[in-house]
Amino acid sequence: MAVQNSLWLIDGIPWWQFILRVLWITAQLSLVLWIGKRGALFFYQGF
Amino acid sequence: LYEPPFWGTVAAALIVLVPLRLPVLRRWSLAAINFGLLALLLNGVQLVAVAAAVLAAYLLLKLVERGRGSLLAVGLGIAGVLALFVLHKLPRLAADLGLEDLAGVLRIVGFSYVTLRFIDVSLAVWESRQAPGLPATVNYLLPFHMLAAGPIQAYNEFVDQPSIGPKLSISGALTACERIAAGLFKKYVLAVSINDLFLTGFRGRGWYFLLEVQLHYLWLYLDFSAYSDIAVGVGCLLGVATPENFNKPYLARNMIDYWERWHISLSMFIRRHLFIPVQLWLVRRSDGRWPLRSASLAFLVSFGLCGLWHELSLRWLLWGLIQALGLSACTAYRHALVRRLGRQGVKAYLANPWIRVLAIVFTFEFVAFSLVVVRFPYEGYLR
Repeated sequence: MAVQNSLWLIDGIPWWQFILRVLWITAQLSLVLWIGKRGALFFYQGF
Repeated sequence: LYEPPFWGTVAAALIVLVPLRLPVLRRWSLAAINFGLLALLLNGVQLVAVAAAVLAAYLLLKLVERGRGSLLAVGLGIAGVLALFVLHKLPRLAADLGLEDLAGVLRIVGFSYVTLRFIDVSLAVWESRQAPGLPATVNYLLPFHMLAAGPIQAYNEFVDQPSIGPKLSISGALTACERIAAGLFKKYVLAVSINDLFLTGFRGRGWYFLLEVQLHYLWLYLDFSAYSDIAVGVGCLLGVATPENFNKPYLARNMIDYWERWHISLSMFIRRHLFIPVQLWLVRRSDGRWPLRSASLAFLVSFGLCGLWHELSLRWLLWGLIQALGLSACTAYRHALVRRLGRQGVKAYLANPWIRVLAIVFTFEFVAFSLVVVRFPYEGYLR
């Protein structure tokens, strides 16, 4: 069981959850960089 | 402050501090890193001045530790820091005195927060007679990740933290990165959008004014708590204890509850150094005959000063007095409830979900409207 765990867990977290969390961080930071660069008002007017 | 120099310092700190497991080396390295960020933001002369000031603080605290003349040393130290604080808060006065350069340094080091940390460490050393070493003085007074907007760590908490935290695990790093990303998202996406799209500095009329009151409070929370998210996240990555500053303030059901959830490190400072001493003094003076009056007066003094700490202006003093009013009303209401309903009755009252929702909404609106006082454009109305 322990061996199986080590295959599917990354430091106690299921691998799919780990990847989702990394993607979530990346998505937030991408928006920060995008909006930070262009300015929120411009972002709004763009629509 | 959250610009390239800051993130560069975070990267340098990660590389240096994560593998470092020797307490002395960690302390000195962190002190060098804290100074490193200042070196990126200040010029040579300014940096030397900051170093001299920290050295002076260190020597003063050593003097306090020795005991003889410690009261004088604490008094002089705090008076000196308060004089600098006034200069920091009144940039025009600094300019008139030809001290713009000094005011610039005070702004960059976030002197409002440094003032409170210095007062805290002076009083703690005075009580415990144990002064920090030189690197600990730097690390306590000028922590690079808490420089911009706190939190204000209590010195006793700073001393009590383990010299080496647990090793950084993958899941620990992930949680810390999530915290930092959430902070940046709150500040640079949500808060910026609300500010640019909706906030007019309370120039709107009618229903828009009411909407702006709500959005302004929302914006303030997103912007301010984001700083502490980033600070706590960076602290977790580096293994440097960083206190939480917010605990779901929108769920506060009264003003006492609110101040235990909003800018927690500041309200704990006020409680330790202003509210409790003033209240004790008043209770002793009146032989405990007027507990409510003593508490109200203590709220008035401590939150009046808290307002002035934010800015030396009438509007912030008024804001502080409104907070004191809310806190006093809450204390009086609590007393009245206990008298009328008894302890069991109050328990049932507090457990009632409808009353809870009503109290939360009322507290939210009280805080939101009290914030209007400090941002309202009086210029158009007052002569």
